[in-house]
Amino acid sequence: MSAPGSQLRGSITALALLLVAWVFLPAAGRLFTRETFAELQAPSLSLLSRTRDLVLTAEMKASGAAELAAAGRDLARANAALELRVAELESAASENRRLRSMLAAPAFPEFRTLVARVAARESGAWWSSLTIRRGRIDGVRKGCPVVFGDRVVGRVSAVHVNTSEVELVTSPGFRCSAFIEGDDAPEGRRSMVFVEGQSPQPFASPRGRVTYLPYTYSPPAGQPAKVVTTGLGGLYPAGLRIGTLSPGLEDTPGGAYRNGVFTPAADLLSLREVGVLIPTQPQPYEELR
Amino acid sequence: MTPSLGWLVALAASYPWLLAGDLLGDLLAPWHLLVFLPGLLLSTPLLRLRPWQALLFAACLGLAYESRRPLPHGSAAFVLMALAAVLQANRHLLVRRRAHLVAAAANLAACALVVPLASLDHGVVGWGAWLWALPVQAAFAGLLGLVLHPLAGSFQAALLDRAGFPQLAEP
Repeated sequence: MSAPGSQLRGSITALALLLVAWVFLPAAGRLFTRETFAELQAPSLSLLSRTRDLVLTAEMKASGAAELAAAGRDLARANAALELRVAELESAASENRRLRSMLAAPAFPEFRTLVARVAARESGAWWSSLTIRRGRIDGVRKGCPVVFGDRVVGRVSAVHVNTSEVELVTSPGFRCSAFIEGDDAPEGRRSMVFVEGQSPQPFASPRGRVTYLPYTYSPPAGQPAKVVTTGLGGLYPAGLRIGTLSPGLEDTPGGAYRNGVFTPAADLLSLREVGVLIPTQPQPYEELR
Repeated sequence: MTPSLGWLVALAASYPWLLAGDLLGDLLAPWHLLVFLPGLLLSTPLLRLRPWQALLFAACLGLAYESRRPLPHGSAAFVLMALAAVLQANRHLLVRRRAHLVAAAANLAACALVVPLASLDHGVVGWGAWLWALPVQAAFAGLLGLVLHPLAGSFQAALLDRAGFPQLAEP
């Protein structure tokens, strides 16, 4: 049996050797280990998520016939209204394309939507994220925007074979440009603001920060101002709702700008399904990476 | 089973708890409470593994944990390895009645060390943000350690016993 002192020395030597090896280990090796463990966890997360889906399906199957008929009727009405809206939008899109080609303006990025189920979610001290059951084999790429209806959920931060991680709009690493509804400047001269996530605090509502609001800006009376995407940079299509600006703006130290806080438009931590917008052509943010 | 594979069996015995932690994290996401378990999963296998195996086990546990988190590569692995080295050198603390307290303290310490490391890798998290969050998260990790260690420890011990890795004799 060895003495405690020699065991401690052995442990410390082993630790020092591993520390040195780790510092000099190529980044590719470290990425490989992370990727390996992420792939190892993916089937278990998928299994857990599918089990939850099964329970939900069983619950829904237990609903009465009258309840289902009412839900079907409501859906049919909503579909009829949406079909009309789609026709209007298609007509506007075709006119938009024609005008842009006349002006030789660059085309807006086009996306295909991929619906993904949420496998797991996390919101701790360092970030807020979702794991979705769509990955590289489904065509998901790093940086793809993730939405729920017309509301921004976040963007894909890591892609694995069958799963992807989504960084939510309230996560500290999230940043994008936005417009504020109620900015009185004429179209084309509206001030662009920046949106960033905030470190989630225990037991608090998820929120983010809006910075660089013009000092002349004051929110519209009686209703919260919406924060919407600009469409610049090609990451998000224009006009998607990021959140609503909370009342109580504060001036920056120099007084040149104002900062505020926004509440996300989507209920980020109860989502079961999201849409991943996959650009049909590679975007600048992908080429820069 | 080959004695050198002890670390792998310990990892297999810890892995379901990491997954259970992910599931619990999913449930607690609206409250932004971090379910941090790697620190408490260290203590029981350390009584059955040789020092090099303990370090390897701690490194793999850390890598498995950080695979889905925005931590600098290898940071959680190193924190756990350092903790494993300290615990391995003080194995008398891990036996019997005090084991739960030590596991809880190890989990608390690991959480307090690992969580701020996210600032290095992931956006800019101001230090002001940690003033309230870090004590709460660390205290929660300690509480989880205290509550879950009897279950997790028994599970790990049973699996390691079954695989033929009994508790090593006291130094």
